[in-house]
Amino acid sequence: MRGITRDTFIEMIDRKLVWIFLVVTLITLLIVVLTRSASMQIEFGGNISQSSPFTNLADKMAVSGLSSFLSFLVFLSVLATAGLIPSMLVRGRAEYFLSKPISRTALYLYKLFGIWFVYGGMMVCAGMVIAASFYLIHGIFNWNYAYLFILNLASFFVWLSITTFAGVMAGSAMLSVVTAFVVLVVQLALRFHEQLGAIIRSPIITKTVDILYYIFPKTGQMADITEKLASGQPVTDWLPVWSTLLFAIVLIVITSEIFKRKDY
Amino acid sequence: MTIIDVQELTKVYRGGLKKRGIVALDNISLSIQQGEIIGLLGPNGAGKTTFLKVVLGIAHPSTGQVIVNGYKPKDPRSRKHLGYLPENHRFPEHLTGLGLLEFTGRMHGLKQVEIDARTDRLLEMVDMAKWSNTKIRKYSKGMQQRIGLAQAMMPDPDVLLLDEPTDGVDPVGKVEIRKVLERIRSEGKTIVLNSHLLSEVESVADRVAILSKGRLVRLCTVDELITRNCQYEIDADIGNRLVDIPVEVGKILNVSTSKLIVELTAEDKINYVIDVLRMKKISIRAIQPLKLTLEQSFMEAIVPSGTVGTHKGAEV
Repeated sequence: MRGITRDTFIEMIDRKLVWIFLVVTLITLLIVVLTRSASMQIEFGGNISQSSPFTNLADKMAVSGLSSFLSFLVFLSVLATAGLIPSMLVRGRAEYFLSKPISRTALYLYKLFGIWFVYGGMMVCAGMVIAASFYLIHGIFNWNYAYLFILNLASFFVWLSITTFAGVMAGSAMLSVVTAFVVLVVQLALRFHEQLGAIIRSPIITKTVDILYYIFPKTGQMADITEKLASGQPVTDWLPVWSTLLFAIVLIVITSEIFKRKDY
Repeated sequence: MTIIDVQELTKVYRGGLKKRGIVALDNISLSIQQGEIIGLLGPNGAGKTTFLKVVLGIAHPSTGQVIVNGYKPKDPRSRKHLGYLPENHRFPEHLTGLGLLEFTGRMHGLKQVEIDARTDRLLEMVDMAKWSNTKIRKYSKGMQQRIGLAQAMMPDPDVLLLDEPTDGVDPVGKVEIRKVLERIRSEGKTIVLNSHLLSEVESVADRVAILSKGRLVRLCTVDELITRNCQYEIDADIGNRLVDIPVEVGKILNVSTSKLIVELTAEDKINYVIDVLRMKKISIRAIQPLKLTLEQSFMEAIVPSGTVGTHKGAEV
C-alpha cells in the first residue's frame, strides 16, 4: 500500500499511543490475575467439572470481560485515529500527499486500511494477551472468542468509516470525534425505535425513525450479537451486523467520491 | 516537446451560499517545453500556487484543459515523473529526513533498491546527510526546504515544480539551492519555479510567466522582458549640442551631456540617429538596447502604465 501502512505504524509509535494500549492491557491483566484468588475461594467449596455452573459462569465472565476490553480498545482507537485523516489533509501536508502518483480513492483507502491494520492489529495483540491470561489463570478458553475479535474489528472499521468521512468533510479531528459521538447517541436512541414510535404516535415521525434505524449503524446491537456468538448462543437476527457493514461501505464510497472532488 | 500544456484554464473557488466565487485563474494558456526553466512571477494572490495545484491535480480546473506528461491531472500517471516542493509545506513530522525520502519513494512506487540508491545521493546533494536521522520537526526552516527539495527530486522527475524553494533559507542556503537548480537544469529537466524573488528567477529561468489577478499578463524570455522594444541608450559626447530627430523616426526620451535615450518607431531607425549624431561631430562611445531591471519590468507588467519608476540602463 505504497508505504502508507508502515507510515501509520511509525506515526502511532511516534505519538506514543502504543504505551496507552500497553497500560490498559496491563491493568486488565492485573484484574484477571486478581480474580484468581476469588475463583480459588469458590473452588475450595468442592470439585468442579467442565460443565459445572461455575465453569459456565466463569466462561460468561470471560466472554463479557474480553468483550468489554476489546470494546474499550475500539473506543480508544477511534479517539486515537480520529485526527489522522484531518492531519494528513492539513494545508501544506495535503499538497505533499496529493502530488504523488496515487489516485485519491487509493490514497483514502490505503490510509483507511492502514489505520485499520495498525490499530486493529494492536487491538488483536492486546486481546490475545488477555484471552491467554484467562486460559493460563482460570483455564478458560473457547474458540468462539474469535467472534469477539472479528466483530470488534468490524465495529472499529465502521467507526473508522464515520470518523474518516467527517475528517474528509470537515478536516478537523474534533469534529470527527463529535460526529462519532453524535452517531453513537443517535444509534442508542434508535435502538428503541419501536418504543419511540409508540410514544410519538405520529405516523410520519414513526416511519422516519424506523427508516433512520435501518440506515444508521447498530454497533451496540453488534456487540450483543458478538457476545452471543462467543458464548455459543444462537443468533436469530443478523440485520444489525449486515446493515451496519453496509452503512460503512456506502459511507466509504461517499467519502471517496467527496475526496476526489475536493480542492486542496 | 511540450510537457505541460494548459489551454484556457480558469479556476474559480466557490464561496459560501451567498458569497461570490473567487477567480484564482482566468483563461490562462501556457505551454511548457521539456528542458526549460520557467519562472512564475506575480504578487501575492496572483494565482501562482493555484496554477501549480491545478497542474498537479490538487485543485480541479473550473474550465479549460490541462495535460501533463500526456495525461490529465486527475490521472495519477501524470504525476509519475513529477516532483513537487509545496509552499509552506508541513511534511509528516513523525518522520526523519531519511524516512521522508523513503516514504516519498514508496509513494512513487519505487523499489527498495532504487530508494536506497537515491536517498544517499540526494541527502548528499542537499547537504543533509548528517541530519538524515533527525526528526523533521526538529529541522530549521532552511533544513526543511532542503529536505523538501530532496523529496521533490526523489522520483528522478522529468518535471520539477518548486513553490518558493528558497523561502526562509539564509543567503548561503539560497546560493546552494540555486546551484542545485542549475545542476538539475544541466540534466535537461524541466523546472517550473514559483518565486517572489525576482533575482532568483532572473538567474535561472529561460522564460517568465507573469500572473496578476489570475491572468497571464506576460509570457516571454527574461531578456525580452527586461529589454524595451526600440529604445536605445547612446553613450556619446553630446555636450551642449542640440540633438533632434523627426517624429517619423522616433522621439528623444532623455538627453544629457554624455547620454541620449531614444525611442524609435522601428529598429532600423537607429542608423538615422547615428547619422544625425555623426553629422553633428558627436563621437559615439556605445549604443545599447535600453534594459530595465526585472523588478521594473515586473512592476510594469502588473501595474497600469505610467506608474512605474525610472529606467535604468543595463551595463553591456
